[in-house]
Amino acid sequence: MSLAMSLAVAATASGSWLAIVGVSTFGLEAAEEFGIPLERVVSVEPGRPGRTTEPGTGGRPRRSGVNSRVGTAAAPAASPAALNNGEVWAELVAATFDGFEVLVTKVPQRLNAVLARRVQARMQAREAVLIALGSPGPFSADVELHAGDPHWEGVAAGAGYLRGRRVAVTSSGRRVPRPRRMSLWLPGDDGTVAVAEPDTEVVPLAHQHAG
Amino acid sequence: MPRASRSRILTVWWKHWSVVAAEPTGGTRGGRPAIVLAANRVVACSPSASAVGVTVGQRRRVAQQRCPEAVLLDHDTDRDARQFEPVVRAVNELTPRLEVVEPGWLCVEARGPSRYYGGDERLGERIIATIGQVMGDDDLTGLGIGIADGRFASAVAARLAVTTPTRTMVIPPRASAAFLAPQPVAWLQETGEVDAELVSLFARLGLSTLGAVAELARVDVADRFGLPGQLAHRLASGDDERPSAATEPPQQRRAERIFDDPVEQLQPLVFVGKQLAGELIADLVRSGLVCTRFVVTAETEHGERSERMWFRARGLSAGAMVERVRWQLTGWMAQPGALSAGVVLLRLDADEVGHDGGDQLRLWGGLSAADERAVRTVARLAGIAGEESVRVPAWQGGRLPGDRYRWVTATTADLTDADDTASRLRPGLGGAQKSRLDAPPAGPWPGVLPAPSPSLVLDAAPATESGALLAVVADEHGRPVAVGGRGELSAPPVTLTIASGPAQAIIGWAGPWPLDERWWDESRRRRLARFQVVTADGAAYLVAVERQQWRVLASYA
Repeated sequence: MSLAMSLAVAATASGSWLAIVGVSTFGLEAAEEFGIPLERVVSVEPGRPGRTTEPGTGGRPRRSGVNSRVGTAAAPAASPAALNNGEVWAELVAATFDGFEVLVTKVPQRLNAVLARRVQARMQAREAVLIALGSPGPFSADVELHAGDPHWEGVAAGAGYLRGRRVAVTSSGRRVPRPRRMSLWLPGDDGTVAVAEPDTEVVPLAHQHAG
Repeated sequence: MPRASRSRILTVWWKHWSVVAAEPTGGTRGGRPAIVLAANRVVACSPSASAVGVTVGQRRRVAQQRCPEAVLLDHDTDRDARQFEPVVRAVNELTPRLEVVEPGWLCVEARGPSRYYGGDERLGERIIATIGQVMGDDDLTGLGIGIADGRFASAVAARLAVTTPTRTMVIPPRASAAFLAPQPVAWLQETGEVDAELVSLFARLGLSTLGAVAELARVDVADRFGLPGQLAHRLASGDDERPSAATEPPQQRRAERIFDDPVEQLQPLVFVGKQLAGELIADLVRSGLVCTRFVVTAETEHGERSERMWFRARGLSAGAMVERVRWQLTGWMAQPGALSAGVVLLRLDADEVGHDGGDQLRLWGGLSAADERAVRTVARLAGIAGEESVRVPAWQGGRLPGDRYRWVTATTADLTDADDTASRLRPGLGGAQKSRLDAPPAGPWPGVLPAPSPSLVLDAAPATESGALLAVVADEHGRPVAVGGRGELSAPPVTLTIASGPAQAIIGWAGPWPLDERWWDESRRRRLARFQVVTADGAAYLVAVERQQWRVLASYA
């Protein structure tokens, strides 16, 4: 989720609007700390099927550029029933692209390929970005980002507080010829995203935000 | 500072036009007060409602409290435009040079017509009589006509004329400055489209009347307040908004589309209008110009024609142009027998352009194209998914992640109003710079955990038990860890079990941070101890124990 937020920062800070479709657990305060202006954030809950929660076993997001997906791979998706209904989701997401450049959502498990293609076409026509949490499902992601091997700094046994986290972010996908891997502070000690240690081929952050 | 060629303007203004427009369809002619609302704010109300204290800009709840019997109507600019069309046509028969500012407000170049009809007063009477015929004599309440030098003075005069018995106020030539001098500065905001903040700054500086503003040296005003200040100063001195040099466009700027197949539907026409407006604006922007007045022309296959001039002091954005195209076309199409065939031509002409002083782009409140699109989409999504489903964040304050922000229904908030947004997200302004322990905690919430905040908030339902996931934090013997009244632990935590998942080893933990909220209120009191826990797979959680029950409040995913 942090990875998804850090992706949305550059676009929203320069005036784009962010829509959150069916992700009721989006941490607004964390988003604000990353630098997302909350006045341009809107949440859409398909059908609002009461309050749903999902086990936040996060830690391994995936992300991407022009059509992006970010994954909390370890999270068993206990997503809302209505969200699993691909048609409702597709209709909402397609309508959302009309006014929002960036969209954070979870792709329903049972989304058929026809709907996915339609959504993708609409997205490309509007030059919008879809950041999908978890599995991209039938979409073909331009970039897939995967944050693994998280290591939190700041807590010992019974002392301190969480300060920053190092994660190894791997990028792959259609638009990435060779998977790359680098170590990031997400967030760093000062609340921002920073390169901790570029080990393999360095992917500049600006490049990751492109799109 | 009188100038040689001063335009003589007649303004027709209908107070609370939205209510008048809504009446025929709203069925409120029985005399019940009516209130028109947009985004939960009053935009117009009937005289009987304003008599009991309903004012424009009030929140819906306050208005209803003041006037419980009022009929509440939704604001519909298309309806306003449609209903205003007969008035525009009636006035247009008397005088050709007519420009519509918005539904309920139009301006006429008065010099020629008033000479023709025998004076400004006679012209005013004539217009009132004509409008009376169109609307039915009895309900002209709210109509005002002002004639003066310059648009601003005449707009102010028209508003003041509403309460006079003749409904007309004529300011003699060259007397506009004297007429404006004793008027309050608030007029600048109301009719001059001057920034509310600048107007309130004038008031705080002790410049309570337009005369006081006009007395300042123009250079000083420009020095201190820049372009908006210059504009305000010009208006206050009874000068017209734009220098006369800006009146004639140096070259023809127009965008038009001819349809091979006549179009009969409104939507495709508006869509084309949108493209045309985009082209026109792009052309103007390249030359650093802004359009303050433009003409929309539509023609049908059979030669019927609708031509209307639209004016906006601040300049028209592409969105504003499209809106006016829509108003004009709705009005035209609603007119019985006006169209016998489909539309074959749509043309937008930039009639009056000025140099773009940059006053359109404000840091706050100026709507970018992205903002306008998003706000429209929000309305549309609310239609698809239901109003309750589309929500925006609002600051609430609290010590638990789920309490800090809450989601409010988007339709109850005015997304286009910067002040409304700022008050909704109070701490959001400096929030990005909020730092860690070395800075004092932001806001009056001692006991909040320092940043970074969790990115997955599971405890979004405060005070209800269902919000967070049940968990167990156990010690090395598998017994749940207990926290005593003074924050002491029964044993160091070793494993974390979320819901029915497997037990995960804890490799780092911090806390407890005890919290005793609302101890004065027996039913809403919460007493819990928070911990940050990092498990062996590297994931971090915010967990809390309350009445011996562990929960996951949030996850630092």
